[in-house]
Amino acid sequence: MNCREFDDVVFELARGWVADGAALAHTDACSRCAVRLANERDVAAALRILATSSQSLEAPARVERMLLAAFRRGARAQSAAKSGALWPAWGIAAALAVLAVAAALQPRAPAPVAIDNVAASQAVESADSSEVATQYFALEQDTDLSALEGAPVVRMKLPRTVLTTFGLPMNPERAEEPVQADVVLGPDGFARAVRFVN
Amino acid sequence: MDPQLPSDEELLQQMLSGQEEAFVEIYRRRQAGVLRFALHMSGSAATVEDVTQEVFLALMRDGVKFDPRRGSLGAFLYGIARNHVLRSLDRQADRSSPAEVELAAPDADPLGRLTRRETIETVRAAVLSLPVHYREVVVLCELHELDYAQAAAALGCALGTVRSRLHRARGMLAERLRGGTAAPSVVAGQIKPAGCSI
Repeated sequence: MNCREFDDVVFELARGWVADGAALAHTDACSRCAVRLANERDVAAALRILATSSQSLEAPARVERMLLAAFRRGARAQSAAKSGALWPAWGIAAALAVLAVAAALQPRAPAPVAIDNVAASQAVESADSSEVATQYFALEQDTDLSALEGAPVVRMKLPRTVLTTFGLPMNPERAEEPVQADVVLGPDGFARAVRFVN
Repeated sequence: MDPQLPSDEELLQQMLSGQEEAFVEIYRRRQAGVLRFALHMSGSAATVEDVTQEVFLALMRDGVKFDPRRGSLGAFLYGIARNHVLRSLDRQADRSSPAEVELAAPDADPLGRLTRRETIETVRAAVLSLPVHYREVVVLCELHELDYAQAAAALGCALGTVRSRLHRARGMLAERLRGGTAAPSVVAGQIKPAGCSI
């Protein structure tokens, strides 16, 4: 074995993943590779100590509670939704969970506003004249949008991929950026409709 | 894993059909790994909880996108966690240094505990000082013991890329532990320069 071949196996050798007799024999003849192996063993040992030190770490119980609440909201929305509304319902349930946590942490959460015209059928200018909004989309097929007039609306950010589920175009280059949405809440606090704001 | 227990993939299917117990089981199996990944990548206590939460919300929302042919569910979750950590690191870049996270040190004697603690802190600082692309392969392959294929699936890159980055990262880590930015420590004191004697 030469030094180049030794380089190919030194990491595995240092970690005990392989027992390469030829490689070990090479360290008897090559002081550079012997030092290299010793250093690699030290790095491996150091990393093992770090890994062990964090072995017992777990997420706080409140994270599981929050996620469970989000799951239940999503499951309820899923069972209520017809086929096409399934994933938007999940996404919004998850986003609502995030919003709930954010609101708990930050007392300056956006104040709900009442919806004016949920039945708008085309892109409309929202209250801020620099914004353009889509129509409202019902999250359940049999939702009567006009019945939601006056319902509270919250502004939130949703994953941009949600756009495609509603048949709206999405710029793939901005796929990682969230999109602003106005979510209409029903009397039970669950999302009923959504529109997207640019 | 006990063959009697359902696999992650089976649990995911059950979860996607709305079974709460399946979601809880996936969460309990995987949350610690996700949390530790976020910790080792960011060193920030605030980040780890947020990332853990976001990863499982994303699983509820996008679990249907999981393709077992491209890697394990664990790798899929690490991939999601990685995206959130990278975004968090971008945000942190404008702020002060990340908060320290207290880790348990089980040694009984104070001197041993102090030495161990110093070692852990030194190694942690060395890992955190690596550029992100190198840090993530060290965290996945060394601290979480993923094989190259799993790490490649989590990072969305070629297996050869993982291997070469890991090779370079280990070299950088050895440099740092030897007396660079993360020195000095018990571990660092053991590492010698690997000069070429041939």
